[in-house]
Amino acid sequence: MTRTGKCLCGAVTFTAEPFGTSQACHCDMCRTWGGGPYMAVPCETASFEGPVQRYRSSDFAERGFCGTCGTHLFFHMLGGERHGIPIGIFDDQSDLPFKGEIYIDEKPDFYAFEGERKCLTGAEFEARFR
Amino acid sequence: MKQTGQCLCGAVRFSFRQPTKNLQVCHCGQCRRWTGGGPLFGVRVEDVEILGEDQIGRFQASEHGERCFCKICGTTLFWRMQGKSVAYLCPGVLDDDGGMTVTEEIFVDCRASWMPPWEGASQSTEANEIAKLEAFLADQGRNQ
Repeated sequence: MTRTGKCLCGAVTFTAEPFGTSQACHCDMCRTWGGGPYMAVPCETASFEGPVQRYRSSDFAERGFCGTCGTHLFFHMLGGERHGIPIGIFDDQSDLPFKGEIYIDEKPDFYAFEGERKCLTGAEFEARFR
Repeated sequence: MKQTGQCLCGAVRFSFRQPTKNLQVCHCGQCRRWTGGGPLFGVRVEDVEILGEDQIGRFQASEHGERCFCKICGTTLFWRMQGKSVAYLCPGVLDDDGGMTVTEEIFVDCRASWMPPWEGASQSTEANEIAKLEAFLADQGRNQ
């Protein structure tokens, strides 16, 4: 089902269709980018309007943010349609179950989530793409 | 001795005094939307010197505070009261983020379901934080 969302200042709005479940990424790049884990749900057919800035953070992916307020908007693997969109910018954040954690081997000790869920190390996660 | 840090792309670099390795965690609705999930982690730093100041985007989400990010890569950098040298720097930009401990949680009534309280950290509600802010702003007004 298509959902709507916006950044903190409202300059960027989007529609996107989440599928699957939300997951947290603890990798060093995500935590450098946001100061903590990147909490996102994979989405099909994401469409953004407004002052979206893109940063090519590796040779295979880009990260999007609002040029006005800096809210993080997406992680996007180049060449595909799918976007990993932070759950916190959806207007309706219900029914986006948080089921996984990746790059668990890069998580610092100063935080941990409530409950247990499937956790993958960086090597285990990357093996899925080989 | 001053500590150092930088954003993901390196366009913004910092040096600062970091009195402690204590982290503040903010669960407020603005922080949770800004970071995309939240909470916002911040370490209190002083005497911040910035290289690449013109690459910093500043968003005034309220009358008293500003949220700062790198305009090139979008790294969430810090939150501070406008015009103050004290800032809460996101731990991701620190060159040395080892040994950090969460000691203070604010806006705890806006906490996400997946984020349990930190054992031993002080707990402050939204109402308490707003009362503290109003007292601070009133005090500033008297001193002007």
